[in-house]
Amino acid sequence: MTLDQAWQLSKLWYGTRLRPDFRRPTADEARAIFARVGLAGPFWEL
Amino acid sequence: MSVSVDPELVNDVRQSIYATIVERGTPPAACEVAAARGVSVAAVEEAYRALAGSHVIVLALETGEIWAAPPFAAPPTAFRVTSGRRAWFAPCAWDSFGIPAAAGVDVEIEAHCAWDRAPLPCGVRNGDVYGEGVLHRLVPASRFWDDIRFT
Repeated sequence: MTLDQAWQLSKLWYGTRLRPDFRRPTADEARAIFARVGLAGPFWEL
Repeated sequence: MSVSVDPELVNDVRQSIYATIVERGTPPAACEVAAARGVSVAAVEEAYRALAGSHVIVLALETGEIWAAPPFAAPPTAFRVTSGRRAWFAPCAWDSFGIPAAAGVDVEIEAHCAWDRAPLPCGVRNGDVYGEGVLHRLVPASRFWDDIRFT
């Protein structure tokens, strides 16, 4: 992935990690996050 | 035998872990969290195991203490991330961008090319990424947690 993809993915994946109401993304939410930053294909399937 | 863990304590412990890492760069020992929260070390260790079981943190196999609270790593790694006087280590290249995302700060990332070890300075400035390079991941997403230390 490009650096920009890593940054965009990080903001979506880790942006709430320190918040009191944090919870890990569900599998469906994770798939949506990957797709949103252009990470598609068998490698990114869950 | 399963042991029920108070979800509120688990959430409190998670917040203590991350607050400590952001502040000083390393995670707290279970006894530190126990003292700060006024609970037993055993209760904190149980919360650590619950957080590890839900893939929020990773424990050191030898000690049961925190090896990583992604995107932060406890031991020094090849990915050092700095923001002013503060410094952290990330478990992997992706997580080196996770640190500014989690902490909400601009950072400089000390990364190196996996092929020839050439420096690859990059980071986040004014909320935008800078630098050049491509991140390669070896383990497919469905298997990230099979061996997270390798991933």
